[in-house]
Amino acid sequence: MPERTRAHTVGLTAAILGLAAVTLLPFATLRSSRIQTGESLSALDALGPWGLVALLAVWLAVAVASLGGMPRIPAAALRGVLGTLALLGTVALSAAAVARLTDPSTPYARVSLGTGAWACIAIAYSLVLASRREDGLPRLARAILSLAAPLGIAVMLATGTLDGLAIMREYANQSDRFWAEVAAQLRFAGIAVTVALVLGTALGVLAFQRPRLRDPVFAVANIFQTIPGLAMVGLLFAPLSWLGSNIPLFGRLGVGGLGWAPVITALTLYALLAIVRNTYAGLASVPAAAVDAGLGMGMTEWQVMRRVRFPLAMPVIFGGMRTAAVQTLGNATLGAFVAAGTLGLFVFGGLSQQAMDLILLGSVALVLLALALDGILRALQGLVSPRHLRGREGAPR
Amino acid sequence: MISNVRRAMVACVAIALITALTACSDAAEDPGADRPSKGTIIIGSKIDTEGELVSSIVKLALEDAGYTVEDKSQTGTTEVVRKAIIAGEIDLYPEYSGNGYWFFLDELTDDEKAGYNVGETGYETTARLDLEANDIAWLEPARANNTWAIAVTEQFAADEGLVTMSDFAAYVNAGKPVKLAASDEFFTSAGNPEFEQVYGYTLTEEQKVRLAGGNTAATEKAVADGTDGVNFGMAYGTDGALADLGLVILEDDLGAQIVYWPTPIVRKAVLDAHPEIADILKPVMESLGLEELQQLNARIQVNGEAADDVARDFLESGRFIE
Repeated sequence: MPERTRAHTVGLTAAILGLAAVTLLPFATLRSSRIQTGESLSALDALGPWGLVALLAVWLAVAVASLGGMPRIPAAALRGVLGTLALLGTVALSAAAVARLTDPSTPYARVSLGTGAWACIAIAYSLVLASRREDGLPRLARAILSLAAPLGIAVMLATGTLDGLAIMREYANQSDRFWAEVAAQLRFAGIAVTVALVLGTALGVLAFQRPRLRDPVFAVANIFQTIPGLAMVGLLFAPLSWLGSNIPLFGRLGVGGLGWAPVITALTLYALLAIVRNTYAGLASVPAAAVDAGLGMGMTEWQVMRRVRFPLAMPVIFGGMRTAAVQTLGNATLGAFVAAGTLGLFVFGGLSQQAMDLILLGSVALVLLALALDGILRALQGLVSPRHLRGREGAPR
Repeated sequence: MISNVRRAMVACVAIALITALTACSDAAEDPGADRPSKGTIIIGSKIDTEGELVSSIVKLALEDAGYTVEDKSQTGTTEVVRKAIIAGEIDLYPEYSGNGYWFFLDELTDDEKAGYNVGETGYETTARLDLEANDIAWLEPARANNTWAIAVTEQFAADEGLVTMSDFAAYVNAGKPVKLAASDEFFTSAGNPEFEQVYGYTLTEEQKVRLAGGNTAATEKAVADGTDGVNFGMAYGTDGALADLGLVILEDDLGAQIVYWPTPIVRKAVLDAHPEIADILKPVMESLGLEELQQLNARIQVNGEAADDVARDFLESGRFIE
């Protein structure tokens, strides 16, 4: 007989928060031009009565599915589906609202998602992720729940359903530059993480093998973290500029105070701490029994490192790399400070023009990239963790 | 187990390298690759709408003439951009003729200083001094005065009878409520000090709202919305957002301000190697007047069009490029 459960706290909380977001927070903003502050609209004004009813109905359904008394696994699946519906519904209804709220006589008017809409999306997606983790959910259902919302958004983007929203209007104006800057963001992050991996793992191993070096190495890596991004590239300007003009090879490669050199240098320095620290921690956490066994089998120290310590430390080291990768992806917006582009261009450009949706274009794109990267690395981390060791720090369920 | 680890590590490094390399191939795309290039010019700009616009105009004009242009626009603040051009990191960027007053303040005679209230004399002094001191050549300017100004909402101007800066001085001296939002530069080094001296008023610290950075979008928005009680906001003469936000500029009736003409400036070494740059840009800059600049700025700021598109429209309609 299928288990029945008590009330599901996460589901109920999500339902209450979702209902609050729709009814109490400003749902959308209508501006007469992209630089105006505009007026906030409630969900009723923005979506009309039927749209509001639809959203309320979905959240109420989530509440019902969380009350308990239903079989556990189908309830979780239902909550996941409802979360997806809430997310896609909020976005689609907002896009449809654009036609209701504007007309051809005001071609520069913009409709943006407001706090309430963004909150709905965030709560809905959290609900989907929470439902996905339910024990005993079949793998197919898990996969569908993970992918349904992103796919839905992707389809809406591809078919142009969302083109009326202010954030997409900004995208339309910047589309050539947009993808070039996404590529720049990925390029800088990719190179910096690779370099930091090589350097950081080496430093971590060094700190592990020479205990006296541990504190200095950590201290140095730590210090870099405390320097704010703008200050870091400012400090790097003079030395890199000197290198670029005085060493012909560097000059030809484009080393200088502006461009890729300060960005990659700064990003690598920032990524070091996570990798060094996790390499050390991973190596230090290897059980002495395993090392003894290896030595007993006649392995040299180096063989022990390569065949016993490293593989066992891998989940933790990989966790450090995952942290560094996502952090570096976000930090790459530094490029905008040194004429190297990246999504920071839209964030800071929007800030200086006081155009909120341009800022969102950059930020939302960045968040989506970071989520995607984290997802991919999580999946890879599953491969790296030996099955019988899952549950150790860093290894996913 | 070990082979799994190896596979995963190889996969990660591969992903990182592939990401980096495919994104790197962007650099290999060269729009002018079919024609042999006359040379590469690196263009920078300050981080504001007009800087972006003028650098786009220069970029497209030079590309049309056969040059390869490396776009490093939105480089940084005035200090950063000056450092960059003197260090050779960039070859060209749009500067304002009036800024020469600040760059060379210690060397100017009193006559030369007074000359900055007139566009032509100020431009000539700056051009001469920058060439001597930094080997930077000033090309043809756009004769549109993008100077410091104070803006108010149309409603407020009508209510208080404010049309000129003399009216503003009278308003301040009458002890009426003032909250002026402006950049730090405006309050400390340029803009407000001149106004205070010529019009005879002084602002207390509580009347000043200091913002970081010189982009007037924030100050104009503050005065348009009345945020934090702000009723006066810093603006520049050629700003595009004024009409849309319902703001008017208080006229500088006594001519207190220095004249700032947007001018492309270039490293002398680059100009000597490619003297035709001056001839390409001369007619373009000559046709950029005050209203033209305001409208182009408005298209970027209010309509949200990309600077390159607006620049291309301007150049094509003036028959400067094909």
